[in-house]
Amino acid sequence: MGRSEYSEKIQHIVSAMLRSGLVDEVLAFVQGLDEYDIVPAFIADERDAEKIVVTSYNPLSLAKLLAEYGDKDKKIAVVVRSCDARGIIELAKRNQINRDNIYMIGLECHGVAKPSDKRAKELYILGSEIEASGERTALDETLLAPNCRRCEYPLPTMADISCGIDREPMSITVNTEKGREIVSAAKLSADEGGEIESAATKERATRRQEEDFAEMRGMSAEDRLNYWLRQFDKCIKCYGCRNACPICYCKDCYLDADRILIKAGKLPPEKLFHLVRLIHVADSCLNCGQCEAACPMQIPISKLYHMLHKELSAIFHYEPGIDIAVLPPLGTISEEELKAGGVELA
Amino acid sequence: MNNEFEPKILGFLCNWCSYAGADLAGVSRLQYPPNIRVIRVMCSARVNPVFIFKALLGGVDGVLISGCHPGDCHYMKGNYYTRRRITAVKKLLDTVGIEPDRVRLEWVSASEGIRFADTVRDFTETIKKLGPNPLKGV
Amino acid sequence: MLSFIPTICPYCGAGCGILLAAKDGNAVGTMPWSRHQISEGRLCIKGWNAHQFIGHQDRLKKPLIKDNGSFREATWDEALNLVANKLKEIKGKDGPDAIAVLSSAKCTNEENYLIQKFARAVIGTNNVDHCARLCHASTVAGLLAAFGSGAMTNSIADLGQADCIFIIGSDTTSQHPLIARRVIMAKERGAKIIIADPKGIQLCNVADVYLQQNPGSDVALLNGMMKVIIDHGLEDKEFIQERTEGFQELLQTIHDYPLDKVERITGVPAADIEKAALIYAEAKSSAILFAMGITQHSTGTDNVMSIANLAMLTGNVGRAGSGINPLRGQNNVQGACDMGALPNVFPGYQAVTDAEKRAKIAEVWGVAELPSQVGLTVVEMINAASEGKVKAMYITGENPMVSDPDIGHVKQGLENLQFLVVQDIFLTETAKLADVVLPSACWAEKEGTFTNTERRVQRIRRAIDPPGESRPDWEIVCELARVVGAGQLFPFTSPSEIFDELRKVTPQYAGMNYERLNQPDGLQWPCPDESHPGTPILHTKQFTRGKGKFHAVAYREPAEEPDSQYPYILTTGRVMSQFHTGTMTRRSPALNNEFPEAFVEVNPEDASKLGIEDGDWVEVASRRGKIEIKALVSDKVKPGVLFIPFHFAECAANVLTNPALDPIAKIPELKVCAVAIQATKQSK
Repeated sequence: MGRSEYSEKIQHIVSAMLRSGLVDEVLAFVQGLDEYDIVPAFIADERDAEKIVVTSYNPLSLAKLLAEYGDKDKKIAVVVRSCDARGIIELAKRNQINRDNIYMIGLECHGVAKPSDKRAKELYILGSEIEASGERTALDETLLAPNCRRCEYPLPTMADISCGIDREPMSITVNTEKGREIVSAAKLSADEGGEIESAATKERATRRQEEDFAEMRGMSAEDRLNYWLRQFDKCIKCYGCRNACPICYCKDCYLDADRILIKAGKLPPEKLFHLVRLIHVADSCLNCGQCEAACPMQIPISKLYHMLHKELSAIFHYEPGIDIAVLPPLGTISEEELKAGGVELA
Repeated sequence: MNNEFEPKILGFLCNWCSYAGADLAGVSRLQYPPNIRVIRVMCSARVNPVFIFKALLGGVDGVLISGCHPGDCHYMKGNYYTRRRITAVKKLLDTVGIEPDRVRLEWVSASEGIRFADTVRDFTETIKKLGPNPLKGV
Repeated sequence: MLSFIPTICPYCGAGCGILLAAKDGNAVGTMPWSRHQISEGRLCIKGWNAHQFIGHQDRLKKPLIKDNGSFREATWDEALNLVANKLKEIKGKDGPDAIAVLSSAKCTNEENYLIQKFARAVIGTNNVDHCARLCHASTVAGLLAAFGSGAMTNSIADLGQADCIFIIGSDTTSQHPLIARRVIMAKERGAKIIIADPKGIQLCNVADVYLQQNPGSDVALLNGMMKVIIDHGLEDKEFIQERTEGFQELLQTIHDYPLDKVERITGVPAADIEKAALIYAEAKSSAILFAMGITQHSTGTDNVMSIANLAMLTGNVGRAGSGINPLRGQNNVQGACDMGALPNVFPGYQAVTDAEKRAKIAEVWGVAELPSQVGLTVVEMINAASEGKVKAMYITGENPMVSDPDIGHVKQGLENLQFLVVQDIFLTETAKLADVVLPSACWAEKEGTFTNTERRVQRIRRAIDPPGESRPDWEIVCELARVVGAGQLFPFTSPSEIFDELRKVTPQYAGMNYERLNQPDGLQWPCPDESHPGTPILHTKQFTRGKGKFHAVAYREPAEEPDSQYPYILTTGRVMSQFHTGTMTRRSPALNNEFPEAFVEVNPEDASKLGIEDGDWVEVASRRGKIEIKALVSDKVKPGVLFIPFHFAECAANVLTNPALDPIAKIPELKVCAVAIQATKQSK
């Protein structure tokens, strides 16, 4: 199934949800001023559903937009990839989004193209192939945004429904009670039960992570430190990384100039700026890549955060954005820890 | 050059256990290196990672955080959070290229004057071996 | 419900596309627009906070009339009638040239077009100018003479392809961050970066060579570099032969600039000058970026001509990754110039003294004739006001009380006017002196076009309604024209209609219209007809004037040099989070909090000599006036040099600056004057 058919199916689901009154608004990416322009929009009129496009392009975090701009008292559906879905769940854990009001329509996604790659909007990335103008060719991995290469979640099983591409007809899996409501409103047939990621997917993602992180891990501490100091010297304190990050939601942020922690008006900002954000976010970093996409100075932020996150994830056994009942690790203690006496965690 | 290096070490000691333990070491006339400067906090969980980063970025060579033994925290669970937090901080430092051993977490109770002195002696030695903080002057 | 409106950032000349989030009639935030050519999904701190001032309570919502020294609210009818009557009265008694108009580099092309049309067709004067006079007037003059076109030769996107980027007199990460990104991208591709700036800037972190020249010594530096290139035989002989003229005269002058002499004048070690020159000349494609450090001098035009000389010498014009790239400051200063808001040219840079062009434009406008004498420039207007020769001024979207040199003189001049009308979005320091204040709409509240520094004309889109009774500037000018009795010359009901007229008289815009502009890339002029795709790079086959002209330029000292009474050099500039006179940024908390107050940057050696510590209050004085300001001890300035950012009205750097003008461009020497500094009694 091609990109345009995929888009149509999603448009159909969205318009049905609006028509039936299941939701008041839908947040999705739509066509902008030209065919290469993909922008977010809140849609309330079912006739606008046809503007929604499904592309291999993810310019902004919909989770962030939802938390910052979504009406708190409306029922809103969001057309999400895994990164957006996991962002929504993490923000819901932090009481920034009311999960009860949100319906997530999940799209299977095997990665999007780099943010400034114009070709990206012409083609669709499916697993190991890409589709361009109706034709299929093998995927060239350099096309992928760096964080997407490392992603472990092509199938958004944490959304209410996950829509599988590359199958005729499009497969829909219901993951939650809300998912059933969606499917019923759209009068579609669906499979039940949470499909889990295959071991092959996990393995491939892990391999790519190891490849991406190998250079950094192989450096001596001194070289690593100098590398990051040099990168952070480029920082112009635009706050783009923080503004784009779904995990960063604080209205009153540690890094703000009037908080006196980070000295105002100093460029590049002191390195504390980056260490503070890192410790605040790393335990829950989703590897959505928006920080790196927002950085005007080409600093490889996503790689740093994801690398640290994988280490913390292994120690705390914490997978962000999957189970809304599992709270972020630095604010929780496990039963076993209550019995352990040492200074190290197991 | 290294034998002339006198590290500057910052210690965060929790009021109920570790600070008392340090006090006991003093009263008992136990000798330990004078490199440590102590800040008393009510609980080891009061230690915000930002304190540790600011200290290291400010040129401090080592940071010691000491609290009650697990199970004995005056505020019930504070030190459990501390343990998780310091684990995360050390991983962060390692990732960025700062030696994680510059930060140490210890449990020292109010009766453990000797343990306190031993900890400081041991940590000072560790820091001497690591050398001056590479972030000095950055 | 929230909508995201694609539009253009109102701050700097990079012209980044942004998505403005509007909800329930309020601008609530901005998001990056990934499709946009220039910003590519990124923004600087100003772009991320471009919405913050829009709903500020200080926004002017009603016309104001001054009665007995204080303002009272008035209706549009009363205000416009008062303005019309006063202007007619003064014109009748003292002639049209007793009135002067300041147009706005913040306003749209359509609005600039109407304002200069109003000055010329209704008032009958060429006394129309705007703040380009204070920033890139020397660029326009210098490049017009050298190339025949005063604009940036290349595009922002192709800068990333340069093998060498020479940045002189521009704090790029601070003032044009998304252009600095291209410098970083080039560097990470292996390009070499050369920086020349009297003050250390953040980009020095990635520079291969940093030259810290004395303020005002740029011609010597550039001549010195050219001599090195010629001595090494690295000039592009073929390019010089085929595409330029005047090389022999240049050669003669260059011989006078051996490295030891240049080192003495500039304070830059000879070895560094040589290194920089060789890197620039030996790279396959070298691009020059420059800004106020080159232009704001009494030798500004000379400085720009020297840059043109350097680029032509090495064949670095007309190709991707090369060229001369003046970084225009305001979001629409390029457009304001293109629209002829200048005393010597009509739209499209057509000389007012050219009878043929004048007649053609008069015909399109439907008037019998247009004024033929070159009018007054910004600083000249203030001088004329002070002498009583200019009796009325109509100022739109400009704040000379903070931006012009010698503010004491500006105040005296404006107060001497019989009538002053100011049209703006906030009650600025200039507006406070007005007899009538007209409230206008800001960038988010109107349709129109901005032209960025790379000649790209882009549409802005209305996201919310203007507050209270404020109106878009174009509507105000049309209404004023109607009240004056010239409504038939301003029959416009939309900016699109205005654009359709302006492109009839502006050859560079002739092929553009709102439909063609309704896509994210806009169009870069020249765009002579409707099938033309726009022009990313100028002078590819030949220069606009045919052959590029070398100008043999000799070094001249700044107009005011340090002496025993005023022993320090003051250079002025900007900071990252404030913009110009601070009208918008000081009302944006995220931006104002980064730099909430003024400071004078003092070298540690000087500080210790003067007994000044970081944070102490000091007094800085010049022949024009004095200010009390906090000291910032910093090694970014050389001993003997002080730096003050000019954004802060309460500690205005321009109280001190020298209104000495470049003879051709009439741009004031904002970058060099002589001052004295001492600790005040408040210091410890």
